[in-house]
Amino acid sequence: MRFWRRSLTFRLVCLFVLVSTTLLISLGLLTLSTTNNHFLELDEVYLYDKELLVQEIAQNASSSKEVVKKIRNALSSQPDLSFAILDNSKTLYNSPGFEFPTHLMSQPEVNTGVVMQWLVGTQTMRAISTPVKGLTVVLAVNTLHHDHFMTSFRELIWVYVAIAIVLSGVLGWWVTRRGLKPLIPIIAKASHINAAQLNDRIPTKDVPAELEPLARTLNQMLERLEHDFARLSGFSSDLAHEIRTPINNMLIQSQVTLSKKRSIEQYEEALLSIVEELERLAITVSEMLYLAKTENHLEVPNQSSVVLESEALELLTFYELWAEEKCVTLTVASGGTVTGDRLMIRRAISNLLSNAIRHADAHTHIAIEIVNTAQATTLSVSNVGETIPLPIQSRLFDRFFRSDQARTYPGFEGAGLGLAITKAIMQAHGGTIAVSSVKGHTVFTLSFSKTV
Amino acid sequence: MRLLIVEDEVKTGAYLQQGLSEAGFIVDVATTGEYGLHHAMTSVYDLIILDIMLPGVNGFEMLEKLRKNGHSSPVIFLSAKDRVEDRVQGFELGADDYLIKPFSFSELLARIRALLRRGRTIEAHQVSVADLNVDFLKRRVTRAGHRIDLTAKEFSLLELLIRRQSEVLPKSLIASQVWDMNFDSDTNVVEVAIRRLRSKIDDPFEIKLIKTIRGMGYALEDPQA
Repeated sequence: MRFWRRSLTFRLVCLFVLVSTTLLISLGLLTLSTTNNHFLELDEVYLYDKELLVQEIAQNASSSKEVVKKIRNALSSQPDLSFAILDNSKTLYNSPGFEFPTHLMSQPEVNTGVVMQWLVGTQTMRAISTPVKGLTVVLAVNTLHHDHFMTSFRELIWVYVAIAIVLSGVLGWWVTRRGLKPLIPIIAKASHINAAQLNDRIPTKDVPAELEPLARTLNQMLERLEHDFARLSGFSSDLAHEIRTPINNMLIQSQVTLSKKRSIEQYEEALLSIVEELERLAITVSEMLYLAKTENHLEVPNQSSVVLESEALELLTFYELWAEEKCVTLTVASGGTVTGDRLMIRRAISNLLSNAIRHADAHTHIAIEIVNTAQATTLSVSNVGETIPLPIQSRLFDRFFRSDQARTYPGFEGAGLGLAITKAIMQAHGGTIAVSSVKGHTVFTLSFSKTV
Repeated sequence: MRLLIVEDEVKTGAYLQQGLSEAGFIVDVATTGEYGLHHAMTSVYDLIILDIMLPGVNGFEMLEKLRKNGHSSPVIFLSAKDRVEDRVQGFELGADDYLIKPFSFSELLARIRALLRRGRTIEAHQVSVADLNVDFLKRRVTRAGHRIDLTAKEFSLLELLIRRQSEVLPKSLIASQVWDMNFDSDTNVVEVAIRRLRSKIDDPFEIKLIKTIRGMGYALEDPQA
């Protein structure tokens, strides 16, 4: 059963043999029955012919005695023909060695011209009977000669059929092998593709039409794999880089601190700085994980109804103290409801809001605006501050991108993943994120499509 | 208060033991699930801290056995795994809390204290620390007889600090308890909020009650007590 499932050649050969066996056997049976019918017809024609002869002879005879005599004279010279002349159930004449079974006398076929058939030992007799001047003349042929022929013919046909079946199996195997040949280059190509050369593709040009969709599908799969693989390797190298720097800082700092005896305050300072560095590292790792899960759809958004303005207002109560300190005012305008994961959406808005406050000029206004259109519900966060140059705008959503490449911000500045996470959250919700920055006016817009 | 730590990573176990002992607990450490189970079955612990990935019997299995044998001490799981399923499994087995590595020590301490206090103390309507008095029912704060007006969030923050006085509360815990911000958000906001609160309840007075413990968080206590 396992072999049946595994080998396509075996399956095809079996099907091929099955089909040809069915066809050959039916053909054989048809031939045999046609031949047999043909012999029957020949016998019939022969018997009717002789019946005519008997009737003709009988017409010119005056007595039944004469009839018997004339028929005997006429038919005795006929090869293969036996006959009997009966008067009621009394036999007047019998060909040598022939006897008409008396029980057939009462059969309805008698004297109707219908062919009767009976067995004598192993031989089949066919006969008709015809009324002649009050007598019954039985004309019979022995089918021995065509029985012989049919037997050998039948044997011959079955031998041919058997040979043809075996041949069809062999041919089927050969045809299958040949037919599957175009798969070999695909297999060869596929077996050579590994992580190092994911850019290789299976050739679709010389592939038969039926296999082209397969080759194309495989290529599409490779395309996706290559894309994911590139993202994954980019992810690991980013991660390595991001982790390496703080580890290096801590290592050097600890070694320098240990290089000579220092005051307790200095030790404390060193430990504190390490704690800060480690906290940053811990957040980086957890954000990286969150990003990876969101991007790869491991974190599937809950589908609940999220009222955007109430989420925004709640976030305002959190951020407003910080905003006040930076002399920035916050407002939320209008409203809308979207379907999605409350916590994820909240995180996305929170990231935008915290960026806006960080980069806002003092005594300016940050506006959260929620707009409903026929196609989408959008939430935009706008602030007044430095204009983001166009070349930087497109890179804002990259992982670990910071507008200030050195960590110039005092205290905590995040891992540079906020916007990447926001973008991933939006993608997980089938939405988009966009930025525009003109004359110091920067707007980030989250757009939740309504058609999803 | 007696705690059991089951942790196969020797350094982690040792530092946790040191930190928790210094915080006033009696701490035993077991390095495998079997030892842990033996300890937990033979002595009485007020709380058990369990690593999930352990050689032999893992944390989940250990908790399952403990609960089957009728041990109801609160259990905190420590794990580097942060898959939701793991957390769910932990809670289903009867864990009381779940901390993902890396976690800050002050966070662990705060959660241990919260669990140990759970269901035991009746929340007082009125608490005083030094000359600061907070009436939770009337939501009124006075210090040295002076009435202090606080915003709702400032009051929640003070309530958290004073209900858990002398405990170091990490910024992330404050953000999640006061503002329901349950992800790594800007902790700038917490700093600003603490500064605001200080300006109202500490700055005008000589004795400062809110302490900053650098690298760990904030605590409210009477320095003279």
